[in-house]
Amino acid sequence: MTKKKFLALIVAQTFFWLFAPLTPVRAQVSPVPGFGGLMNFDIACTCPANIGNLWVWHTPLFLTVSPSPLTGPLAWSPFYTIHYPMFSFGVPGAYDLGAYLPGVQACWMLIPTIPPSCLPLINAGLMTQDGTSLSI
Amino acid sequence: MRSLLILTTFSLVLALGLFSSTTKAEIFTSNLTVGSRGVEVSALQQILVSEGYLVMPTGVSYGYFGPLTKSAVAMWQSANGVLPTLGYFGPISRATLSAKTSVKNPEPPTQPTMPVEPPSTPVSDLSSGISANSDTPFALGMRANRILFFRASPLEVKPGDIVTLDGSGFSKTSNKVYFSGGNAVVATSTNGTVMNVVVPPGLSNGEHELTVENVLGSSANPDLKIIIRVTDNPQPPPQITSASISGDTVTLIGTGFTSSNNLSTTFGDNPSSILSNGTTLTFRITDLSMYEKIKQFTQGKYQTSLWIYIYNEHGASREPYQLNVNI
Repeated sequence: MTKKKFLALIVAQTFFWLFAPLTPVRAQVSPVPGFGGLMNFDIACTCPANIGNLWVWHTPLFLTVSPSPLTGPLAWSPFYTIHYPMFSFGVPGAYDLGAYLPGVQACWMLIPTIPPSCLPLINAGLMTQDGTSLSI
Repeated sequence: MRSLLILTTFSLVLALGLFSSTTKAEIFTSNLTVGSRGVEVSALQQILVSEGYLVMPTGVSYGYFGPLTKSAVAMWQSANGVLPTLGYFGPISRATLSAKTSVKNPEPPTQPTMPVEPPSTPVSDLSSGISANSDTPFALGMRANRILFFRASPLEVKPGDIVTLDGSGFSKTSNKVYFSGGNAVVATSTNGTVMNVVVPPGLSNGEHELTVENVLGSSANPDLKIIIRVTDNPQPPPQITSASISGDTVTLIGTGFTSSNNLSTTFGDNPSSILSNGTTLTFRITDLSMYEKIKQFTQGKYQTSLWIYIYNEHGASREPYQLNVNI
């Protein structure tokens, strides 16, 4: 590189950083946020009956979108969640790791209104994939 | 010196290009939700794509706010502290985006971001690339190619009123909604999961079972009959407008509370005593059926959301109320 070109590069860099707005450095994130946590207990979603969806409470619950550990439920569905080994999903004491869709509600419960109806059992979102720490 | 000139010009153009990208928030003046179209939707999608929250499916053009965009907005809201994280791009979201890009937004956040669609509605999302192109989109986590029917609200109506149906597999082009097996009304759904239908004129007073039929079949389910009650004087279902907690006591303020209210919450149901005077309702959080079960794991160290529905003889609240609690 000649002296002129080197000088040009320095000046260009200076202009660039003078006029470029300051933006925070952001880590690359997956379009679908991740989660991890310890499963405490689960509830079978009852609407429609025997659908097989589960509402699973985690403590702690780590979400990539949250800076601190939480407690709360996520939903799992045999029609949507890709289930990887280990397969002990819903077993209390197993750690669970995966990705989820925030805000997508996939657990409806039959409630004893007169006449009966169904309501969503709210959770943080629907798991897109998961795997656990136990092989039983 | 020619190199110097070229590089300097290139740098200026690049820097100005970056600067201009921060002015995108200025163009947002409308509330955007599922079904919205236009340049604002395109701009929002471009921002979501650029920030990694949205991947546009191959062959899908920008400009339509579908379930995939809704989910991406929800993720963006989560990451930016916008509550509730329901995927509805309203005044608070606009203000947050505006603040984030250091551009003054002409419309201040004057009211909470509330969804047009119920927050609890299951929406077709990642599968929208497949199902949204179908005539009968299905809710994520629900069986595909099958019509499911979860609820009709409000419970009490009179002829001519609008009833909102929640389910999965509703047709975008043609559904027949039957009232007690007859009085068929044709209705359409934009997303396969929510559909409005008008109660037919002349429908007799009393309870009527609703069923939906389309190309997937019928929603008729012997285990769950979805009912509306036609009456000359329909009463609205209870609705919670605010809530607070002091010690163990939760106080709900709202409308439509009666002497026989029940709760459905994310901490369980059936508190032993619910006190109500019509607009105020109180119960003890420790009485909820799953409170102790959760507490044994959390030991009072965590914050979470208690989502509350209330129901009585006039039906159930359509929207849950979110109360942040420590447990």
